[in-house]
Amino acid sequence: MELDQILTNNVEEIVHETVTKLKNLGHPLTNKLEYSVLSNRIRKLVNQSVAAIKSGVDEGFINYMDDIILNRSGEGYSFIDMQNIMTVLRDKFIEIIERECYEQPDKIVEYLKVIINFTGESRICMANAYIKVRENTIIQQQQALNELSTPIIPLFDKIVVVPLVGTIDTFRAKQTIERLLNAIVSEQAEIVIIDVTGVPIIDTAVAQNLLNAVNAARLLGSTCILVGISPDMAQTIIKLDVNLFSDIITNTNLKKGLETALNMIDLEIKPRKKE
Amino acid sequence: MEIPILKIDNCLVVSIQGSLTDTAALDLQENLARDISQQEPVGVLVDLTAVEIVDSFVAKVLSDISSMSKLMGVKVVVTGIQPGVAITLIELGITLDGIRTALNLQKGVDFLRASY
Repeated sequence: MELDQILTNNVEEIVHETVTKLKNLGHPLTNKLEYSVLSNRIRKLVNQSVAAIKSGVDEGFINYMDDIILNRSGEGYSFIDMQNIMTVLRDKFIEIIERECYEQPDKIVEYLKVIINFTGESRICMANAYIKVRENTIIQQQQALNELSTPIIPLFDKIVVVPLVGTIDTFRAKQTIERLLNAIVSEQAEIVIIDVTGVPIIDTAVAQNLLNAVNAARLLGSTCILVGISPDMAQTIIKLDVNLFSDIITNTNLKKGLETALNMIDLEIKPRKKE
Repeated sequence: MEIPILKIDNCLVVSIQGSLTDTAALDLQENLARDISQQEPVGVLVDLTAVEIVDSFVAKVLSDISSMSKLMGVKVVVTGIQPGVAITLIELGITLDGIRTALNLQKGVDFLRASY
């Protein structure tokens, strides 16, 4: 009898025993799911596995794996949880082969090889599926981060504020510069206040990116005021020995920066006169 | 196509329209140097509002034109640099140090007016 035939004949036993064993092992899937739901899922996995054992791990099987891993990881089951199911299933397959083919030792060897190959390949599929899910998550988070990061705020006529938060890598710096320049043109901003209070660390690359932003804004005809350089950051800049910021107007904090900015366009904030 | 150099009051105004060819840029540099020495203006205004793209050569010539005018003792103001152009200039390391820039023609003119 062919291997897939042997396994197909024993599907119900495989499903039942796998679920029972998972339960005994205290597998997290068994804590949350009814027996009927879990056994349906395992039955599907067994059927797909038998199909893959018969015709090799093909696209259909890979898609099926991608699909279940996407759902399971969404439900919070880890890679190890899913691998454990595969291990239990493999042990059960081996047990059945030993029982059904006890009179044909050479068949046992042949079928065991197939099972070993299949479990190996299915584990790779699973790992790949997990990586795909993770990569998608990372891409989505990066997009969310890009959308969130660096608003450019028109603070007053002719003044825009750029509050930088987090590490300024080159990609982000480029994006920010682009958006800043467009904002300068659309707002006709004469003064740009760049607030680096939220930038935790500075290195030469970050410093260079900041300088690029300042110079680009200057080319358009606006003046940049750099505010919120922390004591640590100032120390680092000195140690880096970059003479980058010597030509740039700097202020302690946003408040001072705003005062300077208003002063430059001949405006001031005054208390209202009492009647 | 030659780029016209216009005279208003005591200033020369160069408005560059569309893309600038290499020869046109070099011609402009030469003509502007000649006009500065002949007409002795107080200021030179270079308007780049209509320039969307520059290549490295033209960027260098523009930077040279500005520095050259400054060297000849006139006040220089470059106006209306577009964001894309600014990014190109920065990437090429051209920062137009010491040259006054303004957001638009009006502000450039205001700056020159204030200086004489």
